[in-house]
Amino acid sequence: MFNFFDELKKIIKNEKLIEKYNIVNMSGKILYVEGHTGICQLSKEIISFKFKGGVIIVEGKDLILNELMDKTLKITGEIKKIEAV
Amino acid sequence: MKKINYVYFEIKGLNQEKFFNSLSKKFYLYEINRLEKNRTSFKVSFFEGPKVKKEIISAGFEILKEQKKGPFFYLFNLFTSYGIIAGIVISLFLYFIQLPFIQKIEVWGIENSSQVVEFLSKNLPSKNRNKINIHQIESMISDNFDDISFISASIIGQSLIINLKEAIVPPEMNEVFSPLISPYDGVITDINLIQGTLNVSVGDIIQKGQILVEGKIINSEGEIFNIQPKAEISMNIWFEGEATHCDEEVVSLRTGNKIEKSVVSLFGSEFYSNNPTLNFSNYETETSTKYLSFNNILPFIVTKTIFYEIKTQTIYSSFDERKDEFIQKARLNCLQKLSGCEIIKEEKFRIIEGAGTTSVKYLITAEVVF
Repeated sequence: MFNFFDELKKIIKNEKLIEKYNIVNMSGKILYVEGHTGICQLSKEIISFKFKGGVIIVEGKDLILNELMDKTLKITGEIKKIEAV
Repeated sequence: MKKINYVYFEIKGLNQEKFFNSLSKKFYLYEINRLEKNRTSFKVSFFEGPKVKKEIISAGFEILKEQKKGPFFYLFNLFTSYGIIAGIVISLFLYFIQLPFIQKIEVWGIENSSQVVEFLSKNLPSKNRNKINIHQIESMISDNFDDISFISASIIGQSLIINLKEAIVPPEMNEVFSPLISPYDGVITDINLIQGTLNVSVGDIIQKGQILVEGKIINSEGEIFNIQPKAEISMNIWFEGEATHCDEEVVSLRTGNKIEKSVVSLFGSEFYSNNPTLNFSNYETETSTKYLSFNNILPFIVTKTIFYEIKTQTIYSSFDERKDEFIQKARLNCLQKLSGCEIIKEEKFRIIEGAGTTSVKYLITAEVVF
């Protein structure tokens, strides 16, 4: 089966960069994250989580941490902004 | 991944993010929703619920709400509802206790089954179906109910089912039949007895209303049985017709003059009349009535009376000239008395002469079979 991230890794030479985290934003309604190391902040407007070397801040409205696992998470709601700090 | 069976937690406390981070390493958490600053709800798998609860308590959070949802939960809940389990056990116990007993008696095949049901309710040897002897029940019914020809008893479930068939009693056993009676005066010519006791023989002169066959038979043991009398009996019967001729005959004839009178009436009261002058010495009338209109609002009735003037005339004739006519007239008078089922065997007439009159008497001998 076609693996989007694996194909991307083949094309991009600096693999270390893309091994940190992967985010898929689906129409601003669902945000799928791979490679997080823990959530920092949780509210209806802001959900932030750590990754190796920084923090991702997701801003929006009625945000829910729909799934939370060791390395992956899924955020649903009206996603307005994703910022890596 | 959506789970049907889950546990919903609502917790209260500070620094929840750290707690979720540590919890997510051990359990799958979903639908984490920050309701307020220090209040969050989330769901975990139904089976992981107790472990998660322990983690929450050990982390020092207050559990505000804990709800178990899903079909498995309801099933699990059923098994842990001791009242329901006790109810089911008691019901099953009572069910098995009453299972060997007859609860219902059904009687099929006859219209009035209440008597049999009542009899069995009182006389059933035992309510325990294992102690009931079907053949004994059948013989009990047979002994106590004479009008039943067939009995079949069976136990189906907790019902005792009795299938009966009523005995068809021949009408001869208790019905009284009226005897066969002669409808004519005559002489018996032939008898073909089908059933019953014959009261007459061939050649007997019979009067109308006389008993021909009795509605009973006596067997060799002297027992009397009522029976519908049946026989084919042939009889000779006679019919007589008469016509009388007078040498002088006075007849009334219409002269052709007539007067018409019309009366209009309403509700029985005369409303209008033309009142013609009647100057006939002898007359005969014809009256007809009809409604003037076809509605019931004003029911005017027109009564029309026609007065015909008549005159009397004496006609002289001899019998010899009109003999055939009077014989035929006498015959017709005779034939009118026949019902139509008779076979005419013989016809004869005789002429009786008197003073100025001559009578023709016609006699028909007919055979009738009934």
